[in-house]
Amino acid sequence: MFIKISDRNKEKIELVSLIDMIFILLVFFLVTSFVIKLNLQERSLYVPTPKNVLGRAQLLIQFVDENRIFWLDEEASTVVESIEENYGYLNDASLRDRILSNLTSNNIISLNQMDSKINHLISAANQDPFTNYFILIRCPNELPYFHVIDVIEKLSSTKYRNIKYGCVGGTFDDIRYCKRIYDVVEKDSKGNRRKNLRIDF
Amino acid sequence: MAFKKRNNEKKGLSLPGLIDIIFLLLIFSLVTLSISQARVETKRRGDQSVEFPLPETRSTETEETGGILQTLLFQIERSDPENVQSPKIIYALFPSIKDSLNLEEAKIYAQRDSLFAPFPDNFLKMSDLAFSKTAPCGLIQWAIRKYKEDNFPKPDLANSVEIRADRNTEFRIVNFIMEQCSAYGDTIPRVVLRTLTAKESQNVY
Repeated sequence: MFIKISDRNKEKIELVSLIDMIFILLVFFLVTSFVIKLNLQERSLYVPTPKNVLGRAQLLIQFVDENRIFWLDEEASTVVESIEENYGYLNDASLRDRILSNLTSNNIISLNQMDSKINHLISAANQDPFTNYFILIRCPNELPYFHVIDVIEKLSSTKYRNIKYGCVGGTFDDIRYCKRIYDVVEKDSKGNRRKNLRIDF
Repeated sequence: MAFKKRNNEKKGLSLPGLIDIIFLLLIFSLVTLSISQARVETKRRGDQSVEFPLPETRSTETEETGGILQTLLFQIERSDPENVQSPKIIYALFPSIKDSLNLEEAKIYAQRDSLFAPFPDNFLKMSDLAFSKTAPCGLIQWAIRKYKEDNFPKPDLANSVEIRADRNTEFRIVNFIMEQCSAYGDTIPRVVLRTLTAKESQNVY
């Protein structure tokens, strides 16, 4: 004898509960999205206008494209000095190509790497309020300007506000095809001798 | 022998479920009502009516903007906000002498006085010289010169020009405005970029 087991006990989602859940989810998303929007407000971020003088910066942040940065700091001037010492017999154009080839392969970094370098810089600036830093940000014409804002936002979060910054337009190709890139020794405002990298565009 | 199955369970909405739904509908309508009222209120104040996306920051180095226009402001937006291919338009918004204009009112005046110009489609491919001769760049140069002559007689750190632009605005436009300001040296030592920042940010300036 076969007994047919009825299908009555099969579990089903009740219509009422389903409507309940949908409404609860709807209200939840509505409220959370509203709360998120409410927390944002329009504010002003100050950016110094560029000066019409020979640019001097301890650090150059050049946007190559939306995801890559060409980062030049004091370490780069050490690299340039060593290339100048080893290949000083080359003519200016060949020496420039060699320097740029080296810098291009080692100093183009991702956005995440830039973030970590900026964090490192900020922690150094926060430890020494008497040391001032000047950062130059160069951005190509076609990139959206929010990339520059992102960098400024990070740089402006120092405790003593001893990181100054400026931004100008310019492409990585300007640097790649510059007339000359070389090391110079200059005196800073305190009379200390510093090695700087100079780029003649 | 056949047994007829008794169908004692009534199909349909149960009373507790019905009450649940009614309460949820009540909460939903209350929340939507409060949102619509809040939006009307912010629109009325004129300081939160962000009709295009501004760059978002978490910086504490930002300053709260009032609803009233305080200085010359360049607003850059798309002619059709829904169409990302539409050309960008720049508006030169001048504050009133009595400092009583909000952004929307200033934009209406700019439209009335033809203080706006669209950027050509190929402006990124133009040389610097050709770009500087376009109508929007001419408007930028004229507006900064006029505002400087009327309001910035001498160098002062407080002198500034504001930029309120769609976050995807090309850097060339923003850079051109900054370069025009820098042509006046310390008379216009800084520009102000409008951003969207968390409300908790403190004013440190």
